[in-house]
Amino acid sequence: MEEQKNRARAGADRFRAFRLAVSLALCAAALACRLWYPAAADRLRPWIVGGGRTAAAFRELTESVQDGEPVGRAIEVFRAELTADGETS
Amino acid sequence: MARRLDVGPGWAAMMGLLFYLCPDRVFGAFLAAAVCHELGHAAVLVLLGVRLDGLRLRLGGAELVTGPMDYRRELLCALAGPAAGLAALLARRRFPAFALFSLALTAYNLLPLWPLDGGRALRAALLLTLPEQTARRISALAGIAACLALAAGALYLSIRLHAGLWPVLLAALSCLRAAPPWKNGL
Repeated sequence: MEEQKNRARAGADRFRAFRLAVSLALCAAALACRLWYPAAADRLRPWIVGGGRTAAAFRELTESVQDGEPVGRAIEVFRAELTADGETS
Repeated sequence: MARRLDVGPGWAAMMGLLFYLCPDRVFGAFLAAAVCHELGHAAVLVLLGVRLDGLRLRLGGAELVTGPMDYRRELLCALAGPAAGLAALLARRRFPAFALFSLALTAYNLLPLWPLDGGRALRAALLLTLPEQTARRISALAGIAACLALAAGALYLSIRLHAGLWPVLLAALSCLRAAPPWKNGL
């Protein structure tokens, strides 16, 4: 019984190590892509995390929060900016 | 039991994609907000004397693996992460991106959707006060309502605010993760 338990535990440990190795490989792939193939990120970014307008609006949001504007009002301005962008484009 | 770090490839893929697409400052602020949130949970677990067995990192986010807890402790531990996120707002003048990500993470985690903090807290609070069957049913109904709200919010962010596909992906993932408790509850 104890031996069976140990074998199961060892199997689980091996599986965990395998998944950790796959995870590390994925992280290394992301780092490699960022270092040697940044152009694809520019094409993917608008689809996944929004385009340049979103980035600019977020930058303005962080600046206004840093300047001491209340967070609620800063978020409202951020939302209005993005909505207005949508209407003009 | 030894403390374990269990990393899933889904989590690594998600973080890798964010690292690839986002500027360092944004990625760093997001990571710091997530760490602050988990530290909030861990601090309260330690204060309440609950055993901390490890950390699981999955596609849906991080999850602390703990020893058994009663409902009162579970409620406090579930609310500790969002509380840490709100406390991060104190640093908004010095680290605005970190504070904003903490706020966003807090709002998302407070949705009454299992296994998010809001879902855990709501279920624990209901189980403290109501019969088990009723509590589970209310918790499941709240989960369905939260899923609908999340889907609507995701569509608003993606379509109206041009935030890309990530809100839709996040909403779909959250709803899929929450599905089994609905079946149990209803």
